Amino acid sequence: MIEFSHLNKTFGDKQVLKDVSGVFERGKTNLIIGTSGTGKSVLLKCLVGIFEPDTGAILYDQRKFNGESNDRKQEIRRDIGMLFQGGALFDSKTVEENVMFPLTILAPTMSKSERTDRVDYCLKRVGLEKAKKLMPSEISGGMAKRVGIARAIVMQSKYLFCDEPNSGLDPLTSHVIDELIEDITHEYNITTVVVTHDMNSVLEIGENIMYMFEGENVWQGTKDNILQTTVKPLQNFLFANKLIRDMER
Amino acid sequence: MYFRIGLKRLWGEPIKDYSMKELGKYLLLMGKLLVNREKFSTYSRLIIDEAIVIGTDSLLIVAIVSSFIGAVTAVQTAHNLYNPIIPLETIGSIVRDMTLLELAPTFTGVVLAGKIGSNIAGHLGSMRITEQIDALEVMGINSASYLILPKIVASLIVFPMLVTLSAFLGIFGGFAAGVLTNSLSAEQYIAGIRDNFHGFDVFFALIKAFVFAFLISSISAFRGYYTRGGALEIGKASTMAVTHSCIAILIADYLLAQLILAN
Repeated sequence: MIEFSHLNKTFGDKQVLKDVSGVFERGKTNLIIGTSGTGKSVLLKCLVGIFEPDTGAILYDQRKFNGESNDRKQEIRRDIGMLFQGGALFDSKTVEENVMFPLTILAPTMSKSERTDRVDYCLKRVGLEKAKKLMPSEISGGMAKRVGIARAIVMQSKYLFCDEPNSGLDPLTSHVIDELIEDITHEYNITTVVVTHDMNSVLEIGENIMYMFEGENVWQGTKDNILQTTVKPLQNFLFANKLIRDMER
Repeated sequence: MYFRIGLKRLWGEPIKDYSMKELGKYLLLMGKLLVNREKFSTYSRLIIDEAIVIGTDSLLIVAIVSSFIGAVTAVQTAHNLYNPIIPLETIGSIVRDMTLLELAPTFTGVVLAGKIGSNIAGHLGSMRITEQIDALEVMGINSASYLILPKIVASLIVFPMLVTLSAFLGIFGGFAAGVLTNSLSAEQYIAGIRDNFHGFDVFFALIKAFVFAFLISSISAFRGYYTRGGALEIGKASTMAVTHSCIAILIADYLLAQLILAN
């Protein structure tokens, strides 16, 4: 479980996060949604430690994360897997080497055959066992995302973060990625956090949804009650996505 | 807009603030290289890989530049040496001293700033923009140490080798040019090289090589590591890496000469 409270983040004179609080539960796909520029990715980057929030607290299963020493942070970070928007694969390494990379660095005691088995399992899990010798430049965007997921789960992470996993993908591939994220979350009982503005994903995998508007968390609920919302900015968002037809504007 | 920023940086108070901030960021980055490192075996492989890349990539250009600079020095010295009292062996001595003390380390440094510096900045810049550096950080790996330290150590190993090679080829270039143009005989050139030779000059060239290696690799890595934006900014980072490295080389060149040779 990830808990965060009263997070504020300012860049220059622009406050991007305004007193954001929330809880992301274990074994669920937690979604952060909202229009572009509302601070979704900044919140995600604060949660994984790429940005340091100005104020507020982040707890990973009761373990304090922000403001801690580097050693303490590294310890928690080794439980985190992240899928980046563009995949963020190392372009000088093959697909197999990309997935094996965290094991090579962070699990040096593991034997080579154990590593290979683990990598093979993860690549099979994302359906890419035949692509392991390819370079990132030789695979499609959807495949790169799947390799990113395999790399994120190879360390048996407890927390999986996905930054816009569907961006730049066709609806069919998006659906495959969504299903994969949902299956992995339930199979390994991990805490998954997905940043997206794709409403198909929201209605497919959104077990716990947070809607952000102008840097604030203005609504939190599930895919079952999102359409009944009375929060104006969320209604506008749903209307723009053609999910509600009549609304008082 | 660029013009306005340029003016602010040139004449306003911000230039001092900007320089100090950049220097502070650079020093903090250098400090970050040494904390929370991975195991030595991780670095040893990376250092060897980087050293091979730096060495093989630079060998040809260093060889060409050094040979021609030695040759030009010999020809120009011969051209200016019209006093019959001065022996022709002096050409060999001048080429040797010029090459060892200045041309081999400094020219190699400038050439490598262009070749290796832009490569390092471009590589790290593209890794930053495609979130590969963020990926390392999220994995709990000290990205600065993992990516930059091997490049600096590899440069410290390879640059002195390249400078040694450059000095050898520079002196050989002078020999070839001097003898082929009949400016002096082979025996005269060799006698000139051996005359009044100070072993310390070789040591001084190697000190310069170490200092330049550190400056080029660290400044270029700094520029690349903090790239923000897109493809345009990668290009800018590479350009800045080269210009800043060249300026740093020339300042360090003067300071080393003043500190070590002036007494």
